[in-house]
Amino acid sequence: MSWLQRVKIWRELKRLEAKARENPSPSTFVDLGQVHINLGDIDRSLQVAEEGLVLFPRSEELRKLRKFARKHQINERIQELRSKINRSASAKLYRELAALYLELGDFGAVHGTCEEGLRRFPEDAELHLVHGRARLTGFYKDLDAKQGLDAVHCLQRVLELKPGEVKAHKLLAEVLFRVGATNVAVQHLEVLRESTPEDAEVETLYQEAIKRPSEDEELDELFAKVETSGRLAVVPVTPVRQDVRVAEDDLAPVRRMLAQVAELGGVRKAVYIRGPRALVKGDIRDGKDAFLRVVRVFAKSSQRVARRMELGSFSKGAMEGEFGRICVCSYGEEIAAVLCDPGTLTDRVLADLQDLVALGLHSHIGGRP
Amino acid sequence: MNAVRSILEQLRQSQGVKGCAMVTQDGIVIDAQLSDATSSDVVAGLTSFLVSNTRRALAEGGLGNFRQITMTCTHGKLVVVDLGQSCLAVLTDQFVKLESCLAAIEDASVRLVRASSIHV
Repeated sequence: MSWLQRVKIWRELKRLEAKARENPSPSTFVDLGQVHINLGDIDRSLQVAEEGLVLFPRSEELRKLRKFARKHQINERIQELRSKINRSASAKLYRELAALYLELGDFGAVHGTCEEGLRRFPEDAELHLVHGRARLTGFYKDLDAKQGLDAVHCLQRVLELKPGEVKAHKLLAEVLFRVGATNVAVQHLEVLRESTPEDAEVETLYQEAIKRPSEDEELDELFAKVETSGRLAVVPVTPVRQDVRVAEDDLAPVRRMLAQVAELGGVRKAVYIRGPRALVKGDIRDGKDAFLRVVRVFAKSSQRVARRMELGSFSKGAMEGEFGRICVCSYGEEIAAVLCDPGTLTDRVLADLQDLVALGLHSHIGGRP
Repeated sequence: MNAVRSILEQLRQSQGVKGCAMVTQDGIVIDAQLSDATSSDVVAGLTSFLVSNTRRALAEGGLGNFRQITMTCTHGKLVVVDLGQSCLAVLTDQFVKLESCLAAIEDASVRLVRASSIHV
């Protein structure tokens, strides 16, 4: 590349970086990522995609950009792992390799890796679990009875090796429920209710499963029925989030979504902060509540630490202690946070907080795309 | 000190962990296992800043103390564990699923507390 071309690209980069800061939109971030790809800097392109997704979590273009860059990175890591396995194989290396293939969506390679790994380490429960998950994904995608039954066998093997494995119980319960074997699914759900009593999804599934007792049909018959009919016996029961549309220039949608977040299981207080203003829901007396100050201090300190430690932009965080668990999501001046009971599963809460920040930001800039 | 170093070295070997440091509450490095690009003094100073600010806000609000902080950022993640007189700061890459290395961090924290306490 000539010196003149480099100067031109550098200028274009600066222009796009400034545009992404001043007037953020999914396409600006995608353009910026594309320039980095053209320069061969895949890592930077991935960072740009991640930064864009903090702001526009539902953007398909940004997801594609991230997928492309991540795929490139994964392929490099796969080469590394392959050569490590050739030198000295371990179950951990096989697990990581299979998980990477699973992330790439290369199911053939996942099965090959798991089978190879399990021949060497047949007692490794986690490798059986990765194998089971891959089979299960294949079953849900194609409704192929054989893949479904293989998945069930893999997951049952996990439970033989590790009887308390929550993920295996959960995956088994769901697939058995969906194919209509609710009586067997209930057995796994009962174990889950004991081990993770705070999991709202388990409780919902359990309540649905006990309402629909199944007949004593063999599992292979049930899976064969699904394959023949081309649809699962039972529709999913996971509560679907309400789709909140953005209003032009007020905080009404933010307020509605904040109320939704405050109603999630285990959430005691919820707050949305923009600069000096705050919207609150739950057990909060007023704007002087100590929780608000803690959230502001934690978010601001985290933003500063992330920047100075060269970790990029702080997007979300959690703090655990005697008070329970505080989850915070932020972008610039927009902060959304909740105080949950100890032991609350926070994945869903954090995802909702991220949506809340994006929604607030969107309404703040007047619905600008 | 050797015990602390070996615990940090072991933690550094965990999947996705880019570095770790044990620091005092006022930002002094006890020991660190970080990449050449990361200064242990910077990590110690910033960890101390985060911990002291958060502690003060929690104490003023009568909420008690924190046990653990996790931060997810665009280029990496940071986990800070309160060890009483000191803290453990762990830096990971942005793709690591924290659940997969939290057990190793917890184990290291327990061992660090044990290794750094004085038995009379």
